[in-house]
Amino acid sequence: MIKYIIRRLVQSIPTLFGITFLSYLLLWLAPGSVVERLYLAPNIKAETRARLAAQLGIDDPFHIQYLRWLTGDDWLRWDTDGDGIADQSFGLLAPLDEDGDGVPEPPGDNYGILRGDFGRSFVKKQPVTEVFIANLPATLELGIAAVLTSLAIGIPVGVISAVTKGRLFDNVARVMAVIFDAIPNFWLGYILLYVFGVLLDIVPLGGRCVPNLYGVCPSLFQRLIYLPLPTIVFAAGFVALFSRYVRTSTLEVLSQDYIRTARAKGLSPRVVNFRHAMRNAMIPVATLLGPIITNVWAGAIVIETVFAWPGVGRIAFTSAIQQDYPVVMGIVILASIATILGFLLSDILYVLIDPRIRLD
Amino acid sequence: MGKLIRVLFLVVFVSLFAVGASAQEGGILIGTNFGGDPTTINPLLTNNTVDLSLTEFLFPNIYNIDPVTRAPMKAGRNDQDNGLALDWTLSEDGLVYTFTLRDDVTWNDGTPVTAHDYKFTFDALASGETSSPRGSVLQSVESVEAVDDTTLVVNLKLASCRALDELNDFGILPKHHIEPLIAGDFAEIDNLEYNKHPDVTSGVFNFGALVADEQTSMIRNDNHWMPVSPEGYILRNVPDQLVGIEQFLAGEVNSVGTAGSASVPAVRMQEFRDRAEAGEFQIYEYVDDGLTFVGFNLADRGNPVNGLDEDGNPVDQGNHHFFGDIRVRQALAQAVNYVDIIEGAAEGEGIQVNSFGTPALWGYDSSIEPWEYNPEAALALLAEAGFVDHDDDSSTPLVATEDALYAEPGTEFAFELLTNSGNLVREAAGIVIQDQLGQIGIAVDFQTIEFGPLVTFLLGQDFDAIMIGFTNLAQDTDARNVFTPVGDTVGGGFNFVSYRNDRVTELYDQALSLPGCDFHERQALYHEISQILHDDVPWWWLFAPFSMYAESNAVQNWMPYAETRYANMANIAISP
Repeated sequence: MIKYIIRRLVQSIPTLFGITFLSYLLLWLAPGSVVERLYLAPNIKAETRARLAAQLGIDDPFHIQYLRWLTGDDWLRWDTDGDGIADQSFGLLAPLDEDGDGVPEPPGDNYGILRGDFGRSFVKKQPVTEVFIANLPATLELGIAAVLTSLAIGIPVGVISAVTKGRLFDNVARVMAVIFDAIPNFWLGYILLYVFGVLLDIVPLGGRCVPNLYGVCPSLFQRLIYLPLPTIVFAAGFVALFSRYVRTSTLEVLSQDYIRTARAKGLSPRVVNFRHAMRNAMIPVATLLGPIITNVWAGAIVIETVFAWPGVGRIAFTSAIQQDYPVVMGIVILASIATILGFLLSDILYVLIDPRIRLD
Repeated sequence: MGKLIRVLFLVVFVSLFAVGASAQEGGILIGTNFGGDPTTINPLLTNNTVDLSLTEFLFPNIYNIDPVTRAPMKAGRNDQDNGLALDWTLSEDGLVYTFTLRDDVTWNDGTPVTAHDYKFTFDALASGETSSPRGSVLQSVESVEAVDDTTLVVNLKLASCRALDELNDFGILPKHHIEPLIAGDFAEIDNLEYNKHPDVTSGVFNFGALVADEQTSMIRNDNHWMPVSPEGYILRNVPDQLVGIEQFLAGEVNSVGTAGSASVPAVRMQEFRDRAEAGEFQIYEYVDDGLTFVGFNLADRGNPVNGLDEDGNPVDQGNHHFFGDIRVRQALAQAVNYVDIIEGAAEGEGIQVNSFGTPALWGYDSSIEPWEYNPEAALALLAEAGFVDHDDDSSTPLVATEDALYAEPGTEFAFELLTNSGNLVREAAGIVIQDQLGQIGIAVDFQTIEFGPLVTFLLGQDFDAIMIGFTNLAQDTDARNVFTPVGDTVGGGFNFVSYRNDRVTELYDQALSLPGCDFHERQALYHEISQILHDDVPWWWLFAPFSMYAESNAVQNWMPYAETRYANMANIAISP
């Protein structure tokens, strides 16, 4: 098992590099820049915008920008005598006086993603890690609530659908699953906001809490009113997914000999269905964990934007619009790692749940 | 002993009572912010409305702005605004401004705000080492000297009437607090924790807290030089104006604003008017300080070059095959029904503008008659310019004859009009333009594209015509960067249409270097420029949108002006 995990992790490294390279390339190819987004105004001179672009390093060629993001720039241009002025540089990649104004450029101070430095946000002007730390709890809160809700609803619905196959409950559940799977979550979000927030006025119109003047949010229990709508929208698709998977696998399990034996021994249908059948029917659900983690990241972008939920997804959306590369790339990295680990976790759970399976 | 305890008790009781009496319990004002978290709360680095909506209540400026005329205004001794200058003079040669500053303004730690603070902030900007976008002041200012705490001398490189405006382009930093933090390296200003949590400020509020993607708050400054009523001011992040409106109507926030009609349907604007009329809340409407226009590329699109060479001499940029001819531009200005655009596309939420600017700006000349819809006159002008209906079929484009100045004979009159996708007003206006020009034989290939590519085409001068808008135009009407060859630089300049008119350039120069910088004389010069720009039609002058502030009835003593939501923040009270 350990060998397998190590091998999978090592195999994922080139995948991760590929993802970062393609993502950075796509961002770089996008027309415009963060400087034009933020500083396009008649009273800001073109020279000023050029200086700001140079300070951010976005006027450099692609390979330099990507290399700097990957490995940092402290080795490209550095200060040996401690006077704060760069006096050594790495050849042609980073000339000491790159702009030719007779003054050496400042020494690099970025360590690069390979050494755990995500860089600084162009827009928020603070380390990307601080941006994540500020926003990650909100995404985890919503993601966990959505996954738990979908498991709590999807699994029983799937089991009951299987044991009532062809009857009213099963038909309704299947139709509802298709509907919830098909409804775009942003649309459902706006509809729920309109009905419950505007017409009925019983939930707030977005946000996660109402901090006081000093920025303190009430405890989770006191701000639960903010959670139901985004959780429902987030969980709707997952409920549909889980219920269909569980229904299918439960039907398969129910036709097994050991279930027939259990029934023949006189066990109650409840014990047969929920103790014997459901546990074995859970095996395919474990394989869903990887895709679910990916979907939590992807869904967070839309749902957090619709509900003004202050999480990483909302940051991802605004940063992509503003072409804030360091933040977008940081989120790409985190999402990629989460996805890789999610699929790995699925494989491991598969083995833990079903002892017949061996990882090779 | 018992007597002593009683006396002590009395002292404590009286002091508690005194504290309670001095505190102004004015409630908490809760506003909406549609632009996300502030990028920075350092007044030297700010460059968006979110940042500015905070710094205006936290940092001093060199002088006040008259909320009515938006011209520089000298401060009074008991003024609640953050302007420091009680008076200023300009030397006879127009090269030296001398400011006399208030001596009663302090930072919230008790340190006086002085001329040294302004000099420190200016020097940081002039170093070019910060990421401040506020460098325009460096075009005209040579240096700043703090003669003493209350006397500031500004030496100009050249006589420039714009300099006064530019000197107020940034708020003032507390030198005594920042200088030790940066150890002489101005570049370090970019990295200060202070930029997110400014603890030493000087305004009606102190900074409170920034909760990422939720809200930013400010708390009453009890050390302010005049009593401040509101207990605090919270700016709550809201994803868009429509949600903000609903939150306002639900009572979740005290105030909301709409900037133009692009994002708020006219029906909601009207609903606000009706409900305000019925006394449900208060509103204030004004014409926005931005305009929507179509820029015509006047130069050869196939070979974009700067308007001036390195020595400042004019460069031959070629001529656009249609828009290089002024008669064509004037014809187009009469070929579209502005009522249809404003009433249809903008749903009535705007007014037609006649030239550069809007009525909100002091240089705008409201007496100029805007272009009117007159398709017959447009066709006559086009015929004079050499574009005729060769087949008596109005559904096919006009074609150029030998008389056309820059188009090859036989060229069909067809051009590309671009605008940014997502702006519903511009998208609708483009369709109106496409339809109405089609009726007189001009084929418009109207395309909506993402903002990023649009800017690339715009600044690269690689377009026929682009519909776009300017917002938050500067208080000073000088637009030499927009309408003279100085700003005609490919890739970055704002004279992206390559407009050149020597008289306009001359008038801008005069308005900039007018001895004494008399306000009315400058205004007259800008009015003359406005008339020429109206006649030359380098831009298709379309409209300026209406904007609205709304406050709940709980907000008392509210005194709004155009572009100034709270002119008297210190006096505002919010009833429970």
